[in-house]
Amino acid sequence: MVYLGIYGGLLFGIAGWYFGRRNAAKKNELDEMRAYMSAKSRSLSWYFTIATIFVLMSLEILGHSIGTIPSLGILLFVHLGIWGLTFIILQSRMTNDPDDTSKGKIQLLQGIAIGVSILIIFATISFLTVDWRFMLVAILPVLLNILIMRKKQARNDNKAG
Amino acid sequence: MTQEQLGEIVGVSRQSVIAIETMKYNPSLELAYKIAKAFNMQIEEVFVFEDKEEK
Repeated sequence: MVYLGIYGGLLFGIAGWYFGRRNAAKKNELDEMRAYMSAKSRSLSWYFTIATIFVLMSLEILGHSIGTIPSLGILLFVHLGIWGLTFIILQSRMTNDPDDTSKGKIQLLQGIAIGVSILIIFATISFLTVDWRFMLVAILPVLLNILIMRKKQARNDNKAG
Repeated sequence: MTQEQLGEIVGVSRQSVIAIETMKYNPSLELAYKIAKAFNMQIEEVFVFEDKEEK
């Protein structure tokens, strides 16, 4: 089961990365703006990774040791998760087409994707640490995401009206 | 010329063209040169330097 998780995840990750890049190359999407967005989101994800390292260190000092492998798993999820999320947010902000009427639907889908990703990340942390209280931490970012989605929706409705 | 066509000529996505048009992304000198060349114009005729940060 552990081998399946580690090597299956690695295999799916590499396949997703390869096919994603191949499709993007067909649409001229592997351009300098994508490189800029990728570098910026990676840079942002490092701030969150550093914060997570400090949280894990604090837990160790307070006597709530999680273990090496689960800690590395959490760090990997936080780093890759925040990298992906900030990339999606940056992309939606920078490529916002003022003439596109389907913008509202795309924003709604992006909001749902972000919400689900947050839930998956915290559910994984809860599963790894065998502590359901990590799910409670997910409430605040999910609520914030819903508030932002509602605000955007209202702004779009005002523009349309 | 459509955004899609311009993107194909200069080798970037339509989204990048939108970001440049809406001033959310500052293109590199090389890309700015390619865009100007696609319109048969000089860089300074297509792009105006404004002393402000990216949005």
